[in-house]
Amino acid sequence: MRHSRRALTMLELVIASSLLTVLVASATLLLRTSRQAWTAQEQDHQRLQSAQALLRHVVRHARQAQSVVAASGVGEASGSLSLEMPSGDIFVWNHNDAGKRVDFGVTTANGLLADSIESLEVVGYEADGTTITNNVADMQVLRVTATVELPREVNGVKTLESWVWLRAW
Amino acid sequence: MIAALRQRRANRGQTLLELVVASVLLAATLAPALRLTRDAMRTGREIETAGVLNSFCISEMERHMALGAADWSTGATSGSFASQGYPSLRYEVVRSDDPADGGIENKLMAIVSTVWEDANGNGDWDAGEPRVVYATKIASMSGYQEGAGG
Repeated sequence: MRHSRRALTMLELVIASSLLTVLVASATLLLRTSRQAWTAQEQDHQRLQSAQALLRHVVRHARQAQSVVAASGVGEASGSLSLEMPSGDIFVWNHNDAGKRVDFGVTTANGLLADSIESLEVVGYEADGTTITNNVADMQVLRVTATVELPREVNGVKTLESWVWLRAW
Repeated sequence: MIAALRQRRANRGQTLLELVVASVLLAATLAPALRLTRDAMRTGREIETAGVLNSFCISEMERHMALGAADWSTGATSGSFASQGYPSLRYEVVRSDDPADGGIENKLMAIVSTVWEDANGNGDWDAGEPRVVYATKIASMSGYQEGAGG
């Protein structure tokens, strides 16, 4: 009888171990999937935040700017912008296509402002707000467009756009 | 013999009970953790949407400040941000110098920019759909209008 009970206990242990293994494996899979989804979302969120911060930075300074010194224009996906500020400083934003980043600086864009930016387009408009111009002296409105790629989404190319009206004229 | 059988049943019951308890504990630990992750992800998406709504709303307000200042034209404009990759986001901007809207005829223009997530796709904002509203006013500047050809 003792032999019979031992064999049964072993069988029970094997079954219990198998069931626990299945349970733990399922739980691990579930947790790993959740973690992957969380990481992907966080990555998307950071890229969007980066683009939004970039646009806010440009808009905030453009509102105060005295004039536009240079703007890359329509069709330039790796664009740049230079503004003359009331202090006389020239603020420069420049998209680095190879590094997928936007740099910013005074006179020279030499410091990282935003990364994971696929493209940056800066288009100038005349005072009527509808006529595109390449003449910086006529620019009264700017349309700044930043594009980011979000790996989580199927159609993951997102474009954030900010119009800004230059108050000085 | 009977005692041995009872002992065997007792052993079986104990093992099964342990397994059930372990499973229940595992499930009880995992369920809240997964719910927490799901809630955090939903909150993250809501924050993400709010940020984009805010960004587009300010952009539209700036654009219409320039358009209004240029020719003092009034009226409502609406559309979506489909070309930017956000087909479910819509906007409406109202420019008015009507005193009823807070304006002064030919002198002060009220501009209200509204951007919302049109979750049900009916083209209108409905209660429960996230939205952002910005409002501002601009004064008539004849010199600027002349410069803009308005």
